Formats: sequence, structure tokens, C-alpha cells
Amino acid sequence: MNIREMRNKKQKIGIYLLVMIPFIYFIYVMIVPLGTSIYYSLTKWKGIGEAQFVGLSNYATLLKTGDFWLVTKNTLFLSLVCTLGQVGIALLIAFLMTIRRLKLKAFHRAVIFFPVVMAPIVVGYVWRFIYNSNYGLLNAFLRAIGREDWIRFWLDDQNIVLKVVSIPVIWQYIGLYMVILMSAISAIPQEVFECAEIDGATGVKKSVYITLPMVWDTLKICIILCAGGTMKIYDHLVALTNGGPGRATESLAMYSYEYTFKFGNFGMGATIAVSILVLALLISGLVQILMGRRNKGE
Amino acid sequence: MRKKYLAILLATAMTVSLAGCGGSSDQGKEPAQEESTQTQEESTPAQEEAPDESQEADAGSSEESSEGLSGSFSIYHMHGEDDTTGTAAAFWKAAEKFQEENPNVNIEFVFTAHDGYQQKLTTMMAGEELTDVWMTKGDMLPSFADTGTIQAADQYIKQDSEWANAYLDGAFADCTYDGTEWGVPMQMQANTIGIYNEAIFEECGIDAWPETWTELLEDCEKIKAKGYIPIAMGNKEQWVAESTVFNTYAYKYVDQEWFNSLANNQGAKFTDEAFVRALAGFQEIAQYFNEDMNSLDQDEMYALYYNKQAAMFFNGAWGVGNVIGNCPEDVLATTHVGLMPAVEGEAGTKYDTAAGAGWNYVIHSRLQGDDLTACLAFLKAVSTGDYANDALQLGFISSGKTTDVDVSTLHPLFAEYYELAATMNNCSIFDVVLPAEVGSGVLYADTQQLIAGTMTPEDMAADCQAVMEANY
Repeated sequence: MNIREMRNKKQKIGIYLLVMIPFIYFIYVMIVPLGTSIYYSLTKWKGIGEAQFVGLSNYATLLKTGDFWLVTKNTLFLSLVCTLGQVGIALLIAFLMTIRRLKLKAFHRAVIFFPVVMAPIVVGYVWRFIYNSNYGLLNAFLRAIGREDWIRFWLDDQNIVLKVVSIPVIWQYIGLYMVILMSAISAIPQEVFECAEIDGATGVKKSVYITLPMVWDTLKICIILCAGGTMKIYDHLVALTNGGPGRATESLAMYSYEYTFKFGNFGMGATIAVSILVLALLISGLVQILMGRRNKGE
Repeated sequence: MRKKYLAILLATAMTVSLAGCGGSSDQGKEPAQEESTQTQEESTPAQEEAPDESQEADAGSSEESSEGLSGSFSIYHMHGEDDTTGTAAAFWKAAEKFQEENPNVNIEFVFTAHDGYQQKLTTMMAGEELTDVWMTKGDMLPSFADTGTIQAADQYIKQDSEWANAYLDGAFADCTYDGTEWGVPMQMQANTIGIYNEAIFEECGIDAWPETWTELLEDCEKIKAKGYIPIAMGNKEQWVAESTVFNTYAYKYVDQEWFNSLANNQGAKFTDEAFVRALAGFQEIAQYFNEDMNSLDQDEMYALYYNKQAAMFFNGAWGVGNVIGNCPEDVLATTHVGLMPAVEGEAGTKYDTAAGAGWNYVIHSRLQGDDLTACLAFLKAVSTGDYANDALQLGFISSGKTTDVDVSTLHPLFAEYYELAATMNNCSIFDVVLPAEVGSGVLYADTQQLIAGTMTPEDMAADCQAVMEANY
């Protein structure tokens, strides 16, 4: 509907009513549960009986718990690595896709996008079989090329396991950000590139000085989506290692689940959930500030 | 015209995608839906039987056991109807018999498999949607008992001397809290039993199951030298190593009294020297597990044994059932069971084993009158009497006393286990009794690090003790 068409009051009311439907739905499924979570994070509640209000004591306990910092570190590490990996590689591929001489673009795009539609739990299990130390593809491949010395117990070695589990996560979502970035690139007017070519800009220069600034906002969205999304990582880790060995690959979401449903400690579970929210908000705020500045600078 | 079609198409797409959103955000509601469908399924037989009420009344008067029993209750359980394992099969056999005898009793069965059981129970608890009867472990008993959610079972069981005498000694240990027996036990399972392939043992020059820990270590060395995995381990889910192996091993160093004292904050500590020695000893045996122990799960552990890659493994009594059900013929023929050997110089014997009822049925305090009477009769039927005999034939030991057992009719491997189980000195299972944060939390996670060699016994003991103190 065109703005000029919204002249009479009736129409306006109609529009607001229509907007209210998703808005109320949103409040009901997002804001209300969020409020309840925050409330429960201030209580001691075993899931049964009356919740006992304890103020910020759950937060105090949590901050003193070594495991909480360990899983926070794990989650932040995964968030960082996955953002660099997913968005970085996706950007690179998106740039490569702009090369005119590249053949079978649709095919490449489909293949790279394919893992995105798979359920994370499936990806987790598939990669678990790849990493299996006995019959896994990875070790079999290393054996075949005669590099037995590179063979590891990929999911058992505490020193490498976090890096190892980040690979499937990165691999799965490259396609998603590639598609987003490609659509942003395709929205850039061709004239700009043509002008640049006349001025003598070559492939790499075109990418860095024209394409990148033109898709900067999209890139920012991708990074926020990716970093925020990885804060909630759960399925991959459950399928791959179930958080082990020890808590070496446990994420905040798993930690919250563990407290809530395994230990029946709903108050602490909610506290951890709220801390995930706070961290995710901080990260997106940080990305906004960092990337926003650069945009103004240009 | 084309635009119109496009508009319709878009509208449909939007509706579908919205429906999709609704589905994912309403996850909490899904279990409730499952329940109601199951309820319908389960209640159909009862409805079918309803028209025969006159017949039932006759049957009721002629049979003592169903003296006009009527009422209805719901039960949340983990016995799958298609599940062929002994526990589930015996439950359904007894339940069906009960329903035939008491057609006026309407039972609503709510099922979730073992793996997701506790999580769903917690959800039902928080949503105040508990059924009338459910199964629970000792670690959750205090929450239920202290809030008055459940009523003690012993007050009813003691009224019926036949019922009270139908249980094995120690069957109520796991459902006792504060001096009261809150639940009705249904099984008596050893959490640890050694299962080994005699053919591989002979090939490695070992003539018998080891009697002492030193012998076990020597045997492991011989087996390793022949290229086999001495002890299969699949600890990805974190509980296998702690619950089925370490728990019993710890009882070679500490005793039941120590554990009671620890659980009730009466002086014993995880940091006690004997327990730390147990941790150190366990870390030493871990070198004979398969190196990928922390990334394989329990089924993959069984597979190592079935494929003759591993010579033995320790597992709960359910492992015996699994071997009988799934093991290839040739391996099964040479498979035997043995008790975990004692450690020289330590107080524990080879008979000390973590074992017990584990899960118990508990009754909601709102259940009263006829419904309660019916429910108690049902619980008696699915935990004692014929149930106990059937259970044995189906390959597991129930909490009820059996009558006239002909061991020759049992599967030979199960018969071996049955004889060993009779000699066991049952000790409390850590993760059944201790608060979940300790029993299913820090103990599991730290054991995984202990056997991976990334945590020292002293650190683990201190860590466990710290969490224990926070949860007294």
C-alpha cells in the first residue's frame, strides 16, 4: 500500500490493527517469557513448591563458579572463530563469485548452500563419524596419504577439541552468509564497476575499494547474526561431544540446560540464560560501535 | 489474473511459514500434545471394556483380587510398549494382567524413554502437570517429600503384610529419605558387572577371570600386548565411566558407612584419603580403556566388544541383557561375567557392588480414596508376585522375591549373573542418592577428565567436595 493512499482514519486504524496481531504475538512469545526468565533468575526454585526470592544471589554464585567462566570462554571462543570463519570465508567466496570468467555459478552456490538446510544435529552426527578415531573418514584419509603422524583422537584430545568442533559449525553456515552477501553485491549498480574499470581498477582493488564499502552494512548484519547466533550454540555440541571431555566443549546454552533440566535448578538455569542474553547484546552492541565508526570515517 | 494467483500463492506461503514459526516457539506445549494422544490410545481399551460392566461385576465378586476395585489414575513411566528389554516386557505383562482382572480401573499411561525421562519429569514438575504416579530417583525425593507433593508409600505397604514381605532385602534403600520409605521399588540391578570374552582371554594366556586388582592389571597388559583393547569404554554421555565402573571401584576403598556419612554431611568428605586413592587407582586403569573412550557412547562400547576388538567391559546388569539380545552368536558363546576384583590392601571385597532399585514409583499426595486403592493394587502387581518371576525369565532381577526359580530355564549368561548377584553386597549408587549437581553433575564431568588424564585425583576430590558443600 502506498503512503499516499492512507488518507482516511479508517484505513489507518485498519493498518494498526493488522500490525497489532504480530506485535501481540511477539509480546506473548518473546517479551513475557523473557520477563519470567529474569524473574526466576532472582529466585531459588527447584521446579516445585514456591519460588523463593533471593535477589542477586544466583548471579553472585554464578560469577564465583569456575565452570561458568570455562563455558563462557568456550562460547566466546566459538563465537569469535565461527564469525571469522563463517562470515570471512563467505565474503571471500562472494567476491570470487563476482569473477566473470567463473563457470557454473549456480552449481557452486547450490553446493555451498546445501549444508545450511541440514539440521544441526544431523551435521553433528555426520561429523562425529568423520572424526571417529577408528573408522572415521579423516583418520582414514590421513592413513591413505601416509601421514599417520597427523592422526589424532580428534574428539578426545582436550587441547584441540574446541577447535575441532568449530569446523563443522563454520562449514555448515558459510553458505547462508555467502547468499546474503552475494545478494548485497548484486544490488550494487553495475555502472560503479564500469567506471572503476575505466579508471583501471583490477579484481582485488575492485573488491576492496568498491564492493566491500558498498556491502558494509550487510556485512555488519551478517557478523551480528553470526556472533549472536553462535552464543546459542547447542545441537552441534550435543551430537559431537556432549560437552566433553569434562566441560571442554560445553557451551552456555548446554550449561543452562544442564542446570534446569538435569539438576532441576530452575533459578540458576534462568540466571545462565539471562547471562547469555546479556553477552549476546553486548556483542552486537560492540559490533555496531566498531563497524559503525569505520563507516562514518569513510 | 496472474497477479491474483501470485497473491494467493504468497498468502499461502506466508501462512505456512507462520505456522512453522508457531510450531517452533511452542515447543513447551509439544509434550502435552504427545501425552494427550497417548492418553487417548491408552484409554481406548478401557472404553471398549466399559460396556461389559455387568460381566466385570460378576468376575469381581468371584475373584478376591478384584473386589470391586474401581477408580482411575495416571502413571508416568519409562517402559516402552515395543521395548523388548526385560524391564519393560515384565511391566506390560503385569499391567495387562491387572487391567484384565480390574476392568473398572482406568489407567492413563504416559510414556517417555529413559534418556529423556528425567528432563520431562522436571518440566512436568515445574508446570505443575505431574501425573498421579511417576518414577523418580533418590536425588529428587527430598524436593518431592519436603513440599508435600508425594505421600509415603510405607504407610500402605506395612498395612498389607503379604505385600510388605514380598520385597528383597534392601529394596527400599533408594527410596528412603528422612526415615520414611516414600516409594515402591521395581528392580534390583547391579550397576557394575564384568563381562568378558573367554576366547580372547585364552588367546592371551589368561585362564580365569581375575580375583585381585593386580591380576586384572596384569591381564590387561597381556591383552594389550596381543593388540586387543583390554577394557571397552564408551563415556561420551559422561555417566558410563562414573556410574557403571568407578562407583563400584570406589567401594573397594570406602564403605557404605562412609558414603552415608558423606551424603548426610556427617564428616566424610570426597577429599578423604581413601577416596582420593580410589580416584588415583581409577586413573591408572584408564590406560587400558580404548583411547577414544570419551567420544564413543555406550552402544559403540558394546560394538567394540561384539566385534572382538575388546576383551571385556564393565557395565550395569542391563549390559548382560544387551549382550544376550545383540551379541553375535560366536562371541556370546564364549562370554562370561565376573565380579569386579578387590584391591589388595584395601578394605573392600569383590562382593561390594553399587546396586539397588534406582528408580521407584511415587504417589502424588492428591490421590485419595478409590483411586488410591486401585493405584496401590496396581503398584503391588507391577513390583511383586508373578511380576518378579516373569522378570527373571525375561532377564532382569526385580525388587520382588521370586518363587520356585528354575535356574536351568534362564539364559546361561543371565543365570551366571543371577548367581553372582546373590553374592553381592549391595552398596548405594552415588548418582541415585547424591544431589543431582554432584551425582549427575560434577562427578560425571570430572571422571571424564580424570580418565582423560587432564585432571588430578586431588583436584577432582576438591572440586567434588566444593560442589557437595554447596548442596548440603
